Amino acid sequence: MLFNSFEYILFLPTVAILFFVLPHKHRWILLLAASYFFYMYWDPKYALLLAGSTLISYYSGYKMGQVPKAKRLPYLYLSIISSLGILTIFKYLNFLTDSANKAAELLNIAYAAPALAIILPVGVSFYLFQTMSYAIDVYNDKIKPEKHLGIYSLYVSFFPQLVAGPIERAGNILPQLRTHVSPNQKRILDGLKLIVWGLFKKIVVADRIAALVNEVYNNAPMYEGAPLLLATVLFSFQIYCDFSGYSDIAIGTAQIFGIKLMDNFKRPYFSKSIAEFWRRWHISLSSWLKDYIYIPLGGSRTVKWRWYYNLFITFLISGLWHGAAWTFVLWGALHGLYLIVGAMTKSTRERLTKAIRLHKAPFLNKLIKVTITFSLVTFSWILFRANSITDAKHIITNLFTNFSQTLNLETLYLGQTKYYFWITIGSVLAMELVHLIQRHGSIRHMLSTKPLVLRWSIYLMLIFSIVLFSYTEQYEFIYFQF
Amino acid sequence: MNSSISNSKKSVLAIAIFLIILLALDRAISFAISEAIIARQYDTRIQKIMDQELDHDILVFGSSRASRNIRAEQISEITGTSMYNLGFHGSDVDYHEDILRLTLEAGNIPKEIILVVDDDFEVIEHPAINFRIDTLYPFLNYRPVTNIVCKRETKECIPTYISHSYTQNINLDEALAYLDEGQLIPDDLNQIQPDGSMPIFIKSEKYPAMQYDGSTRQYDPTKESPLLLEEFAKIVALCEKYNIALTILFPPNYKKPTAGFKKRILELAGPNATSIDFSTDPTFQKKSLYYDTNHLDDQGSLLFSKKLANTLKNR
Repeated sequence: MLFNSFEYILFLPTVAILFFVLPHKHRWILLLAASYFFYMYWDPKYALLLAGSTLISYYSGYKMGQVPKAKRLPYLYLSIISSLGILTIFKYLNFLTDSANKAAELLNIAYAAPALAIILPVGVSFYLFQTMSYAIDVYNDKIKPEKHLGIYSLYVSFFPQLVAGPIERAGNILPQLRTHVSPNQKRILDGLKLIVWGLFKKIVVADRIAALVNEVYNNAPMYEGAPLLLATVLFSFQIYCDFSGYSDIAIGTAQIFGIKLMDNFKRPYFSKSIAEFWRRWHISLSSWLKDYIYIPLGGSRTVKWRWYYNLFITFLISGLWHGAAWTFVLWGALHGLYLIVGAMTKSTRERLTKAIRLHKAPFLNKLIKVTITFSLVTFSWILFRANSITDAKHIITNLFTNFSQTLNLETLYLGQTKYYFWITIGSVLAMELVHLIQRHGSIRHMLSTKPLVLRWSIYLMLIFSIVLFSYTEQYEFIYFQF
Repeated sequence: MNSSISNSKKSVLAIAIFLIILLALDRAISFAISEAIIARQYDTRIQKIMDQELDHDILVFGSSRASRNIRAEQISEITGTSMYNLGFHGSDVDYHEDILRLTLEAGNIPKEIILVVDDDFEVIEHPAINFRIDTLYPFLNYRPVTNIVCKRETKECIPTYISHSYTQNINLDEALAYLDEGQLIPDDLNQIQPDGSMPIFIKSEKYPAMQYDGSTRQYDPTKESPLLLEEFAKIVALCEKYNIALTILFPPNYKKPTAGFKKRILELAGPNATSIDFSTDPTFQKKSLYYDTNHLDDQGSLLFSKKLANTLKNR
């Protein structure tokens, strides 16, 4: 079920009303049933995979709780290997066979492994990361194993964050699932406001941009210059609004049920460095990779070459996590390189800033850093969005080809009407204006101090912009494919 | 306790007022969009259908071969029976069926329907024709039109009952265009006449190189689309239900008709339908009468309409 569908508008209040009507001790059953219903709406058979991985990780955790740490390793392996096994079969097998076939072709070896008709189950990368972190945390005594199978199943399958995160930690969610929640008007209204804001980002900004970006990226060889550059910059906003919109709806929905999910985005395009970007973008994945891959590898507290190696490997895995294609691997590698170069040149850049006295103009200094960071991130999105390595190569090499000739409004409307184009640009600017205001604190808190007429006008504007602009093609959330 | 009840009352009141404002704004916005999008159109035939303004003896249905070739007004003058053209270029038989149903259910019941058929893809899927859903969007203020759009799954149906702004949102860009540019200006191929016909006053770019195609082609029923067959049968059934005479018209083309096509179409139309065939009329093997291989130009359509009128008159 999509958050941006009419079905969800019916589903959410129904579940919420039943939740508050039911006594506390039975609520987990409702939420678990609702979560499986939500998941099975796509394809019922993949619920078996969800249930299977839940049972294995539950069993691993349960058994680890019964033995001393020294004897826990087999159970940890059981959970990790089963999760990675599912990921390999459902996500990476065709990528691996396809890569092997291409390598054999290059080396003139007569080899052709067959491609299997495997469909990637939605959300598998998200919930398997949750089961793995649970097993690792139990192994390391960070949390106690959950004995209640129902509550544990709900932790893995909780519908707001099941298919696209945030990737939660058992230590944060399990205690909340046991806490008694009363219907609180302020909490519910805050949750609803966050849902509306998320829908605005998804429907009004991301989906409208998608039509413009798809026109260019799905016909990349036909374009050069300004349209390629514009589509690439727009994709930066599309992916941000698509994914952070989903996270907002997930967090807002969970809030209605009294569950506080972790923040997943903190205005990432205002970052002053790539390192800062990764502290503000898809925070739940970044922190997962940091805690379960980067730090176990040795993190930064080691010799420099090893530190760079750790960074590179972590981001290579991040790229692979996002998708089974070489474009994603290259995207991850590029971010790894950004960070390594950033770390290597940090002191030189600081000296340069002082030498040209840029530190005396903090706003300009920040503006330059933010612009450079945004440009680097946007450049990397080419690899992320391109349909193939060939397309990515064409886009990168033709970003500025015939730039002045292609810089005219008719071309830049990217196949849509001028009204469509300018409304889309306006919606991006409106969103960024909100982000600028958010620098000074929560906009919801700020709004609550404003007169009723102003508050309601803003809410009505948001609601009507969602209603009026929901005519564009309904796109799935980009991160569903991961 | 009292203050908690009072707070609850206040909340309910606030929600109620908010919903009333929401509803009022929804209706106001949708009304504004609807007015603008209708004012933007030069082709308002669907509005005429819905407003029951088509009190005619004969209605013509079909694709561009209907809209371009048949001059309803000229035929009306000769036959003394009123005729109106509801042909939409690029439309398929699935679309014709929905337009016919809309027409009849809105209360426009003619005595006769002339269905102009496309040789040889009347019931075969073809890239040149489709369900012209775009022609329906400007008239979403009419519930039956919205129902057709919902049936085509380009809109979720239940929300259209709740929010009229949602129903109309697909027209937003064009409504803004109306405010900015005013009414659409029809190009040379869309000069709609008061009788619903759209004759062509120019020649196609391909006209100079155009040659009569005398090759023999055999109709292939295995290529027929089950959906289009079903829709064709529905047209026949609708005519029978409303006691309307159905005439199948085979228009002239600048090519030899497909062998077996006529026989097959008449078989599908059933025993109650009559037919008029101009596809082999030697008068229309003259290049100068055509815009392109499939469509007559202004002069060609006048000549064809005159001959058709005489045929209708002398039946």
